Amino acid sequence: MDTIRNYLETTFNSFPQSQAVEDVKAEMLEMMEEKFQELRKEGKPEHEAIAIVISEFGNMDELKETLGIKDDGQINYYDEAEIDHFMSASIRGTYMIALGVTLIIMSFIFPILFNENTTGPAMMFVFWAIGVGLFVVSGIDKPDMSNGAAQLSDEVRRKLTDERNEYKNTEAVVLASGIMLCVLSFIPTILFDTDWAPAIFMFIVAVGVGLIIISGAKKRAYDELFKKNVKKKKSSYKNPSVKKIMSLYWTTVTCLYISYSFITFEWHRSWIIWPIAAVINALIRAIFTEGEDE
Amino acid sequence: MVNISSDVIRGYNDTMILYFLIQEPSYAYEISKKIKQHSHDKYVIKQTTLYSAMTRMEKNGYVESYDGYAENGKRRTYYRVTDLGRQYYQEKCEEWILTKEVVEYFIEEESNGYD
Repeated sequence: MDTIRNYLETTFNSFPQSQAVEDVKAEMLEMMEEKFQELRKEGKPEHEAIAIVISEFGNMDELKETLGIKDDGQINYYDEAEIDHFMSASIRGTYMIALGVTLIIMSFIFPILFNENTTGPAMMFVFWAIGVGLFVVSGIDKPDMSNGAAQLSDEVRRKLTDERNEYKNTEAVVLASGIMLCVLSFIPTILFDTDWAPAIFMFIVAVGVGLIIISGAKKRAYDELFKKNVKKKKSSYKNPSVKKIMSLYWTTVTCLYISYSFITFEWHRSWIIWPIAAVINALIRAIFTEGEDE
Repeated sequence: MVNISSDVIRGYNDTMILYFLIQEPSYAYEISKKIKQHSHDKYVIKQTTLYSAMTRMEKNGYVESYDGYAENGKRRTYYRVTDLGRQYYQEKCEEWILTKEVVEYFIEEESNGYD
């Protein structure tokens, strides 16, 4: 196996050092190892297995294109305009998501306020539609920086890191205000024992959650920039049946909520299913997911 | 023994990969093994060729990658085909039928050595 590893090291020697290159190298090694093991299992002697694996490796030029390395071995760098465009699009996208989430949470205010008639639910669905619309358009004009067509130069990287650090304080303040609003949101419900108290609660939570999402806007953009070429590893359910069931989770909750509310017309109360569902979702996630890659 | 010229086959690596992915999701090494078997050991796809084909197809939205686990619990990148990928596969098949037909007009086999 060492021979194969050494071979890879040598072949990748002329490539610039970067995360993207490391990733490709790891992927290549994985494949070679697997092939080697299988050949050995078939009874091939070690040196023969190594020879076959190396002969089937291929040509480094093919990887250059994938990694955005030019023929002369130079790396293709993103220019500043491209990066600016990406940053602003990414941040705008997060703001849209924040607004969407805020609107959707606020939508539950209407059934609470207009308890007696259909205006409440109707307004709620309108807000849902706007919120979902915002989610859909949020990613639209963000350029794809993760295809490895080009990379960040060290200079740009440093500049971005500085900018990112400068912004950290603001971010912390916004985040803290958001969390505080969420924590304190139940106070009106305690102070005023009226029908519309839950509406104030909803409103505060909506603003709080919006702030929490907004606080991460820049961080998200930077992270995506820096971690480009790194495969997005989503934490996923390992158990296939749990995975199947959970893929239908939110749809089921939505169906329950809508059918229950339409049957009983208790719109001012039925929204409680959402926080409960979120807690249950978090629990299931904690129990059944494998560790997430950073 | 004649070898396949990589220039000719390059345009059809995607087709071969998609052929298997349409049957079921798979990972790089398995795909390369299947290609070899299915072509009766006449074509062995190089690792780098396979890797860059997968990256390109993912970029174009023909396939999606996700994390799976090998029998021994090791993490592995799996690929599955998208609807766009299926459509692309169909187009490539039709393109090949036409290509084959056209090239055939110009091929003259020496009669000896065969049969």
